[in-house]
Amino acid sequence: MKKRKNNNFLLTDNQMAEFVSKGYLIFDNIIDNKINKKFLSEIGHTSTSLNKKNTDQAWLAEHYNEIMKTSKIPLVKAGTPLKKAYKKNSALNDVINNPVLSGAIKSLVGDKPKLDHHFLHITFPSKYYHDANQKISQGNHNDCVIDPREKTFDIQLFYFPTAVEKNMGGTRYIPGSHFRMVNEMAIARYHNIRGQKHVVCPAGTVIIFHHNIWHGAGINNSKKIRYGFKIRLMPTQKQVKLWTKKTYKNNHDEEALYWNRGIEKNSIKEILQKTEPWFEADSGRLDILNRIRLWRHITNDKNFDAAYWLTRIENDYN
Amino acid sequence: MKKMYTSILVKSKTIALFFWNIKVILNIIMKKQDILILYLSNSSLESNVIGWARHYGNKKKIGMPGDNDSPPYERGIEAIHDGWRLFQSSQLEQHAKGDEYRTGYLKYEFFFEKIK
Ligand SMILES: [Fe+2]
Repeated sequence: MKKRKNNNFLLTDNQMAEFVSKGYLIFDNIIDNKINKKFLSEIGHTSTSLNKKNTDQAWLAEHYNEIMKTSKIPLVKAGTPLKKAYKKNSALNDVINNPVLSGAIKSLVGDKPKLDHHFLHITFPSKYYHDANQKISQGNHNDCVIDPREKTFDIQLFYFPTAVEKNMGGTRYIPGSHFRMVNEMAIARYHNIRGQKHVVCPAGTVIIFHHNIWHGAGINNSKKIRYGFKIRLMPTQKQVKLWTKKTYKNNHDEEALYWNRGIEKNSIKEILQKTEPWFEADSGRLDILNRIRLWRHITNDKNFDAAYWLTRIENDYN
Repeated sequence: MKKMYTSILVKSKTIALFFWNIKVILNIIMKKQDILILYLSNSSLESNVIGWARHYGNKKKIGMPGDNDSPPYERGIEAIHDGWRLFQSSQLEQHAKGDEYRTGYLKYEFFFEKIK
């Protein structure tokens, strides 16, 4: 993270490349416990809320509605500028103004993003549900219909105010799936994908996901409630060089391909070409092409390439 | 009169026994289907498993999203070696013009069954 004069922490080139490549960035334990506690008290969480004897589904729905009505989470109209979404002194305002997070938000969607929607996901321990549906984990999906935008992307912040332990069924997600154009639950047939990950994190963790990443919620086999607060942000400007003032090269500067001394570790080129364990031999190459295209766009470096993936097919003299 | 009742009773017992036997036989004949879906890294059955799902004929077992992080087999062919019968696989399709570089669904889908 780079600390700027104006006290903004912007993402580094490597973090940006990581986001382009994998579709997410994890900020472990970034929100301090005071704010986490403040958030929990604002939503009306009490540690005794699960000790009620009445564990039927109706009570759970009631409990949910109650939180929606009485919690301090505001009703924010779609399209409200993020800056105006949360009251000063509220926990959520503290969260989005965390210097590292606000730097990351600025780097990805600019300094005037709009709030699409936000939602508090509450997952009760599965034994509290009688409905069989609630005892099955959620299928893989992306949070959109077929989204035709190729360059512009929204981000979704997932804030975990409490620790998410392994048996709490934290969100499962598929690294590198954000370029795959599918339609929401159409992919639910894919129960397991090689390289899938599950959120396990300390309290105060925030994960920033690309809007199109494949994911699904797990079942909560613990005795604790799992909370996840989601904030979806859309940019209001072109996502070009929002994290840097650097001028990128715009000239072909290629190293020797394949017959070489190996690709420089942790370089942008290496990050963009790292394959995921689930990549098909053929489509996986296309995913790499799409990463390079997005990197060209966000750096405004139209000639950038890695291993000649794009240059090779652009050499058309017709 | 008594004789008649006795004979009806005997008859209905025989009928009940008959249907009970049918049920037993049907249970033996009507085996259940277990399903294995594999996604492979290319169109060859010899290639690596990159995605999978299990479904069970037995009502008490359930295959769930995210239920296992490691694949049941390393390669598709290993399912055949293990007695799974392949009954469907995806076709190879020409890339649509103008849409050649867009990626989407997993392409190499193989459905297997075991009858138990
Ligand atoms: Fe979702």
